[in-house]
Amino acid sequence: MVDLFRQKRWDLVGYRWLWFAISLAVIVTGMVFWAIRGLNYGIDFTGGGLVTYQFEEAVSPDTHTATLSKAREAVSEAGVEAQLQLAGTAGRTDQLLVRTQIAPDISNQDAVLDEQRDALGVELAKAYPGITEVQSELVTPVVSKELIHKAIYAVAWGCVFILFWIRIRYFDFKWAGSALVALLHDVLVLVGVFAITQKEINSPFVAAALTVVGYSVHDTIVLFDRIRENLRLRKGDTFAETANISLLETMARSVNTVLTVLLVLIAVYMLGGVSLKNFTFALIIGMVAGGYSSIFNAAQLLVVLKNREERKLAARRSAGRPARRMAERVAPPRRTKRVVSEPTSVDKQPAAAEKQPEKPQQEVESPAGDAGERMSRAARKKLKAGRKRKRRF
Amino acid sequence: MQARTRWWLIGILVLVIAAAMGVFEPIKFRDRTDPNTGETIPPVKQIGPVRLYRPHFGITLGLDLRGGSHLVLQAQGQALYEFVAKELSEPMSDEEHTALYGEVVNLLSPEAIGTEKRDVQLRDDRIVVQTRLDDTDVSEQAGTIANLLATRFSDVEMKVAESQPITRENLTSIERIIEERVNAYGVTEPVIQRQPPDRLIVELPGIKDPEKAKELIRQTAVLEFRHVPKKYAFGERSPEKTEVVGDWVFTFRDPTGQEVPTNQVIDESPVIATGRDLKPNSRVIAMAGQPTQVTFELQGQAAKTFEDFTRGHVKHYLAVVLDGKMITAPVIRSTIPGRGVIEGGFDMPGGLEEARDLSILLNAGALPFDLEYIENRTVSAQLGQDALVKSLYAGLIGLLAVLVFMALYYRLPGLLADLALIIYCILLLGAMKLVNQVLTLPGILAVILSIGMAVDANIIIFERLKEEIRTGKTMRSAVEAAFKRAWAAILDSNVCSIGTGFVLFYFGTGPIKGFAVTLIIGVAVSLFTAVTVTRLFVNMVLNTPLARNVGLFGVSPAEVGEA
Repeated sequence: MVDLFRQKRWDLVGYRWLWFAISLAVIVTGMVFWAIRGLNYGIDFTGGGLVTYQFEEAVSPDTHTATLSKAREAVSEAGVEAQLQLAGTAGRTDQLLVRTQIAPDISNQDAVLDEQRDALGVELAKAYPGITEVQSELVTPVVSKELIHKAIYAVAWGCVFILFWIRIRYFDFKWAGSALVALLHDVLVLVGVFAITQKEINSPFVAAALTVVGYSVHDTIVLFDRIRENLRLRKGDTFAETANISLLETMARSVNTVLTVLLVLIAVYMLGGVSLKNFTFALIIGMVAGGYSSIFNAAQLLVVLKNREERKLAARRSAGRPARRMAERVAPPRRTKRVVSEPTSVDKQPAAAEKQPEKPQQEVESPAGDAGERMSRAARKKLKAGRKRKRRF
Repeated sequence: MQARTRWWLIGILVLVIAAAMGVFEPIKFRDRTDPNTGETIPPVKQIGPVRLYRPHFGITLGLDLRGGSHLVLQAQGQALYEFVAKELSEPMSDEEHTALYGEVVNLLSPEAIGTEKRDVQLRDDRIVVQTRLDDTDVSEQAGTIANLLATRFSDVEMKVAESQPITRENLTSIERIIEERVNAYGVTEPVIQRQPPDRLIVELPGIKDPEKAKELIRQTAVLEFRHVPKKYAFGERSPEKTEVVGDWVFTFRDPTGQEVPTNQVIDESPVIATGRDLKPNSRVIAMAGQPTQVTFELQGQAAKTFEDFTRGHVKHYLAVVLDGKMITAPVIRSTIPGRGVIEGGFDMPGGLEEARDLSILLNAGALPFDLEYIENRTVSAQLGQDALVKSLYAGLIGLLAVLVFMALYYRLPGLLADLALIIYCILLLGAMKLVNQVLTLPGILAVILSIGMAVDANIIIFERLKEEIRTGKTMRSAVEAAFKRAWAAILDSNVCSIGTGFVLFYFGTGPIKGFAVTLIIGVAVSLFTAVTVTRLFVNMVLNTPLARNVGLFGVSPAEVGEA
């Protein structure tokens, strides 16, 4: 697989607007569904009850409708308004989920929910003598309101953390911003897919969204790391070219990682219990979206931003002001302790270029411009401090 | 083999064995108990203090895997109002009094005051109203009540308007009282947790009848001071506490010397004062050289009644009864003018704790807060068991798939990573056991996901390794470079995962918190196994002839040096 990507000299960056368009299309579709059909909030967010009953024997596929309508009768007999759903694992349908709702403004909500459940139990037992209640979740709207707030805060703070961490580790907010946009993309795709499929959104969904955010940033960071490295090694290339090479180089890793995680998740989705299904589904969608967004959005967006920067620099240069080369602006000083090795997978650099990163680039800007040769004392100190800071990580 | 490598190997081996021992507990120095029944399981063999057991899965399972109830209770703040009405002080017959009371009760209907719980009493010339504070403000509610009363009485004056919000101390008292009830119900390993400002989380694993337990837990506490009839003599307090904390066995004897059941004693003892008359300010006074004391204070009319009663009944026994259970039975030494202390019996070992318990219970009894369930999640043991088996099975299949994938795709290093991955799984479980992390259903998913992350680090390194080998380096320097260069990316990405894990932990509730903790532990452990352990293994292989065959590293010999 690695060779597949390495040897194909695809121009991924060139098609960046296409990738953006695909992402946008998915997100817009999701948002349209969201606007029209809304999201299927679970009891964690609306309040209400979810009671799971277990049939004695599995329900055969051709009697699904009959079973549901019989259960529906029993439920209306109990005087409860509820949504019904059959569920099960690995092709065996043997559970009945009953979702009841509760008005948010009545008092004694817990008692009402309890009564609903008791009535359901009595009527369903009449219809299906062998049925047993195996799980019940009753959430009053007080809690659900808080959960919504917490969910939004959680995702927001998660994103802020990642934004600042990447800002610390990389050069400017262009990098962190691109990564963040990719993360938001993942969250939006995730929400969109849930709007389209009308799957239930519960607090595990939020956990899944945050996990996806944490995971997708893995891909993005690996990619950024490679771009950063290649910027040092490929001084002659434009940013777009460097990014493209880096993309191809890390593609195998990105694909393999997503594949291994998907392997596990799909196994859990197929074989794990009913309670994990939605959670796993969210993770699967998120992982795919995350893999896509790192390769096709994060890096590409960075290229767009950097191109603009390059154009600005060029404009300034033509206006007669000296401007440093793109790569120089971007490459950080190398650590003092260097690996004794050749640069990887690119044309061998002349020895001079190998040593060059030792010289100060970013921190030292003496007016004369020949900082490498005659460094002022203050500049040396500054450089040292800079290295120290870098070494902490 | 280098000495350093050997020491590393031994270290890792020791860690793995320690983790496995912790998780599977084949050897223990204490008895192993069944988590569901609380019974002691006899060891297979016992040598001195060392007990040998058949290995089992020693990590505590969450409620969603073993069945049980997860309840969130919200305590409601209370307000107390006292109005003085002139008309009430005029003499009236009992019938008139009753009629007037009915009128006031109707006047102050729950709808009119805007809260569903309210209690109205007439005490001499006072109208005492106790309400639950839902969303209403105290002054607002006081105004409403005053206006209502003004329609019936010509001359009312508000004397007291105070609110009892749920403070930290109050919440502790409520927690304590619930603990008491849960223990009385006989649940093994219940978890009761405060969630300030006004909530309690109660977890009841594996209970048979969650509904009954629920009702028991939420009742309003009833605390009574009862007068034990003179005919009963204090027998003894059993020296040993029963397993239920704070539940001592008291015995009284009738004149013939026969032991009388405590319940009967309680039934025959008239109530002198109730928790409502008690101020929630009981404290423990413990000073060197003096007996430890628990203070209590009665308020309002009750203080006077109590004083009169104690004056006439010195040397009689007083029974303090909470929820129908005698928690202590002090003897009246002298007249108690509303304020008194309970002392004696707190000076033996553990007495101080006992005194503190009593003081908390007195306060709890004085705070008849209403509790409401705002969340109730119950899973049957059958479903939990089912979910456990299914998700473990699925996880195992997934893990196997990953192991096979790594071995096929990355060849030799992949196999080494597989070994590191298995070590990872054992260490992860060990770490969870170490911090007493409960394994929940989302937790299992977190374990599975963190396996993915652990593998990710290896994939980064091995992809790098392939590239380095292709540049024509010696194997040793290629390995060195690959690990070194992959490190920054691995560290950054894992820091982000841990960061989001902490965010999740902070905002999440219940099982989601478990998911977050497991994820954080997993990522931290994976950094160790995927980088340090794998590197050690790869280094060891470098010393063998295997290292000369680049094909084993997934690179075809023709590619070497071409890049």
